[in-house]
Amino acid sequence: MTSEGKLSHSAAMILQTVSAGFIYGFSVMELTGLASGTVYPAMRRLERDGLIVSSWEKQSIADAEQRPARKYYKLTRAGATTLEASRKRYPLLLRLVPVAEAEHV
Amino acid sequence: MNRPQLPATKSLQFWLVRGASLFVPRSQRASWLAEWMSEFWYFRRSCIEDSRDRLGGWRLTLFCLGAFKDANWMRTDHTRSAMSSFIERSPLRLILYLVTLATLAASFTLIVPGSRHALLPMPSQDTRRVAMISTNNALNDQQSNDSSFSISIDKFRSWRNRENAPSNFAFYEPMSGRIGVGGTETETLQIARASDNLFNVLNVALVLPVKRRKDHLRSVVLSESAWRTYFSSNPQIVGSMVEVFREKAIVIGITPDASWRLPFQADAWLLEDKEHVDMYSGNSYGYVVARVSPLTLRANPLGYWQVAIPTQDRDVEKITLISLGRLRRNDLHVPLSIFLYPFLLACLALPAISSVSLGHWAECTTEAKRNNIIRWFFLITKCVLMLPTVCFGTILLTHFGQAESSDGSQMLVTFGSFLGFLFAFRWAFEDQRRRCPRCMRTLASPARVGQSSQSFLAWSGTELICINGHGLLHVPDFETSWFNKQRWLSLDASLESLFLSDPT
Repeated sequence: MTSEGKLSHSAAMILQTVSAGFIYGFSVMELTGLASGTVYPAMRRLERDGLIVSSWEKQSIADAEQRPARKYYKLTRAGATTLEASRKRYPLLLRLVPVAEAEHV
Repeated sequence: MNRPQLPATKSLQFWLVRGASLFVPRSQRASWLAEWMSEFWYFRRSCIEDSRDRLGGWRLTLFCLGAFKDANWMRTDHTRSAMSSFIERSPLRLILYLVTLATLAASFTLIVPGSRHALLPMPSQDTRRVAMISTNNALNDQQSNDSSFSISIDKFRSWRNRENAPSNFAFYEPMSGRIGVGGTETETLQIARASDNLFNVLNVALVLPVKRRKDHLRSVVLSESAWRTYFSSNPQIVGSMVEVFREKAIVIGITPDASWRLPFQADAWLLEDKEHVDMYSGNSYGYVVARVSPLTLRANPLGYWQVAIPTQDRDVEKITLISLGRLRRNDLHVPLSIFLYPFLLACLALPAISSVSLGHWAECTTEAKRNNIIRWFFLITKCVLMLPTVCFGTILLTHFGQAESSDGSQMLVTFGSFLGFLFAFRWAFEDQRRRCPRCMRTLASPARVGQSSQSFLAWSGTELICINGHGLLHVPDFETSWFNKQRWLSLDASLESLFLSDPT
């Protein structure tokens, strides 16, 4: 894992979005307004740095709803610590993506 | 991992994502494609469901184009090995890397024989005025080799006092023998038996020369390699008497190996006066070297001359003189001064292909000035270390490129080194702009900020961060009147607690 708090504003925003419960790329895009070419590489970078972790939805659930399975992202403990540090650095993060919206998914 | 069902519609956007997947490293491709196909399915459904969205198709295309950026990131992240990251981030490691690169380029140039010769001086100070003599018109012989210049000693003797004959010419004959010193003998060496004016004609200066006296009828010049191998680099050998072909001779000097590039690679030259040369057997064959006058040189600057010499039976004999410069025209010869012109030209052309600004640093403190000096010093060090790499690299490439003539080779070296300098300097400036102005480490975590379409409301570009927490760099996508250069934003020292002390 890399150092805590070294996130750019975009990365911190994506981390905050994932933390708020928007746990797949499309929903992060919708909420942040960032382009797919920004969101997906940023999420991979966050995953590489151990701040988020991904997992595939169970195929049976997706099959039952006749849709493809999704890849979900979840904040790790290191990610939560980094996000806490980033919130101090970017105080507007919480206003942009309130944690209360976690019920969105 | 469970693979999702692929979207049924094989639209243009679908193939865009499939095409982008080709850029993803093979080991990660399946997983990457599965995620993108799944996201594509959801995004497409969202566009179709929203019937009011007339731009749905366009939005879907933009979404899919993002797959290329993602795929490119995957590839870059995959190929960017830990080693390259290790080298690039730390300034000292980068300097070490550049030193290693320059050393390797220099070593290869010196190891490869053809390219090594390119750096060595020409055998004579003026290769246009020193000529080899041929009696069988070696000029027309496409495959002219050393034997084309082989001449009998009788002919040499007969020319010496003829009209039209070159006035200043020397003869040497390849032989082999031993050199005796103080009762011991070397092994059999390649010895050139020559007229005593040979080195004067060639205008080659000897190392450790001893002034010849009139009673020194025979003298010996040793090659540098023979002196080192058979005489243990002993400087006392110069000026001492040795025995060659059972006769005494004095060693009058040593000649650098690079200074001799005529036919027959000799370990030593036995220089003999006219009386001794006249005693050579009539069957002896050797080579004749002449020094042409400036007047003759002006008559044909192409480097070859045909001379008719009257013989004793009132006939004429035609001989051809070919200058060393012409004979060695296919050899690659690169004087270091040749790099000066491309270097200056590259310095002048650099602003045309890259900005030479290091960006805007909004600091005017004493520390900022000190950092500025360090920054420029680091930049200049990088440029200086790139010079030998480019010079030796172009010599190696030209050598392997097999140009048809020495002039062609020099053109290639000039053009190649110009391009090399230009792109080396461009890289040095671009690398500098990606570094933190305080610790000189490469900035990390690039992130896109803003959108080009909203440039009137806010800036759009890339934001990078110093992993030591010194600050943020904002690089605009395109220059505007209010944001025309990249800007550095220093972070307050109070934020340093957020960063690791040793982020490597």
